Amino acid sequence: MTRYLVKRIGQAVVVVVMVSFLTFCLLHLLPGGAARAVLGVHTSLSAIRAFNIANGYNRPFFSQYILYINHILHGNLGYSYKLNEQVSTLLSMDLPKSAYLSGLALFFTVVIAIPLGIYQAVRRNKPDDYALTSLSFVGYSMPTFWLGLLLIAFFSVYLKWLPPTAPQTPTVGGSISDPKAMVLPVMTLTIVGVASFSRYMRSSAIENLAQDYIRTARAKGVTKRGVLFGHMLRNAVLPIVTLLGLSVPALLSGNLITESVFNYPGVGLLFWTSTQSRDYPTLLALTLVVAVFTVMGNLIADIAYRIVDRRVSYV
Amino acid sequence: MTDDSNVSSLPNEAVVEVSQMVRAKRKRGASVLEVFMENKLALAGGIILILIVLFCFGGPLFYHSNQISSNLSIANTAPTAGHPLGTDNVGYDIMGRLMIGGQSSLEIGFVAAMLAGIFGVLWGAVAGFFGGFIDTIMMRIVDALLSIPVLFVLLLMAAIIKVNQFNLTLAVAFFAWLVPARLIRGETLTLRTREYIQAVKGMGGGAGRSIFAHIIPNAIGTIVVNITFQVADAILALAALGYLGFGIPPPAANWGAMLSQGVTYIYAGEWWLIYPVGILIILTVMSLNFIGDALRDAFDVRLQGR
Repeated sequence: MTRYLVKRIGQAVVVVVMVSFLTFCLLHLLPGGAARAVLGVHTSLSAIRAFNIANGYNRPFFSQYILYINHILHGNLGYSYKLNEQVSTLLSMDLPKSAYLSGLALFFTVVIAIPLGIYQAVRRNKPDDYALTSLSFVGYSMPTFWLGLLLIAFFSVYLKWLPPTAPQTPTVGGSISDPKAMVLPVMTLTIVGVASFSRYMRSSAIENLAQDYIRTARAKGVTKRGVLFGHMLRNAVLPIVTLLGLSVPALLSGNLITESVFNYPGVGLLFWTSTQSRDYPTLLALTLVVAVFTVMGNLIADIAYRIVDRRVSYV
Repeated sequence: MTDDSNVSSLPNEAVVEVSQMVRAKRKRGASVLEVFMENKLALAGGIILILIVLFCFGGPLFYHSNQISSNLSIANTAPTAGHPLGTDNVGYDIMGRLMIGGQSSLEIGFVAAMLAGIFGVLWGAVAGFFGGFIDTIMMRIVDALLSIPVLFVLLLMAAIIKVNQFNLTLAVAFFAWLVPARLIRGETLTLRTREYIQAVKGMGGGAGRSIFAHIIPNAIGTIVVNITFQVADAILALAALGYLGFGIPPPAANWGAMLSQGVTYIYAGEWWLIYPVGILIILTVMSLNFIGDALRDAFDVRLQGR
């Protein structure tokens, strides 16, 4: 296990270093370079030169990269000239709020999708299975922003039950203390998540129900419920563990759209407003952070899978 | 084949094997059709997709509308005889706009998925075939690119460069080749140990021959299935981009931009701006998913005969 862990973490580190190199290259692809992006299009050449020297942009390419890595390792993700704030400060404000939103959505997704998938597997190819399958396909095929806006139109405008915007407080405590305003954003992300996860759960359960150990358990006289929840569930959930880890990019993209639909001040909204104001230092830092989260998600999924399923070899 | 089989029996076995392969091949071709016939959802998906393609590419030949100049005096009019689906906020006829918007959405989706498919297959086949250090380097690059969510990168690119159909296609393709590359690499890893690849090597065939003549044709099922899903994902990604304000600027049209434009009128009761295009997006993505699922069943030998 230790050997596997070391190897797998080593791979993750290599990937993170490559991603950091990619984002660094993107910074260099900016038309006119970083100086023009920060100082504006009509800056004098001497001002650009001064900026480049001050930030080390006059050094050779690789020496700049080392400098960039050095800054990141010291927690300096860059400075947002548009928001006049360290990117790390912006992140420490917005990240907990995004994590709260994603966490809630993920929790409800799992709690709903797993029983739903098992139910569909048991009722395989019956009318209710077809109905649920069609519904999940509609949910999956629907652009997320449209779903969010339809939910607003129905629950806030028509029924007037829920507020159309997410909590607007700067801290995560404020979001927690206003659960009513969190309902619609969480619901949007949950519907999208359930639509795909219930499909995976359904096929995983169908595959497991055809296995010999289920027949054995039934032959022993275990009740139907006992077979489903005592025997099948643990095995069928295994692939879902991996999928949860791999779904981090989808979750983050979903967050980006949901946060902009409901104006929820999380990392996704920060990224979106930064694209609109062309706040490149923030964009690149966020891209790196998002990538690190994805790599970590994959890593945790891989390791968790091996811990849950002892049959998977460690090498 | 066991080790103690004598030489004289070889030709016979070979003949049997070849005829089995031919039969398997014919069966596979037939089974794709069969699966479509059995799987009602896939059949419906196929028919809907054909209708949508006909509507987008054939429709403008019969249904003429002005999609070049705007006409504010007829903006946001409800459906009438002259405009069966009404007009949008600058007076374009929605029916005609759905057609040309669909053209660009489908074109971007298909071209990007094809480009990504071709490049991803080559990348994955080369990495899987050579293995070792080359494989490690090539696949870590894929891992690195895969760990940046596509939507973030598309937004980043849209913020840096000017968006048009050409570079949007390239941008979508640039991140769509990663998944096929991974799938094909996995497939190649198992294929390269098979006897017939060893035979190619034994007869002096090079890597190119093994990859192009044997590995890629055998992995074609995986590729086709993946391309189907990629097109669907591309159409959804374009819709999201359009909503976030980075679609292709007018007078060009695409479904994503139309829907995001339309939903700003969600409270004005102007349903014709929202539902026709929204339903078209859902139908297209759903049909592609149904077809992809059916094709996967058809190509997946393990599921055959179930």
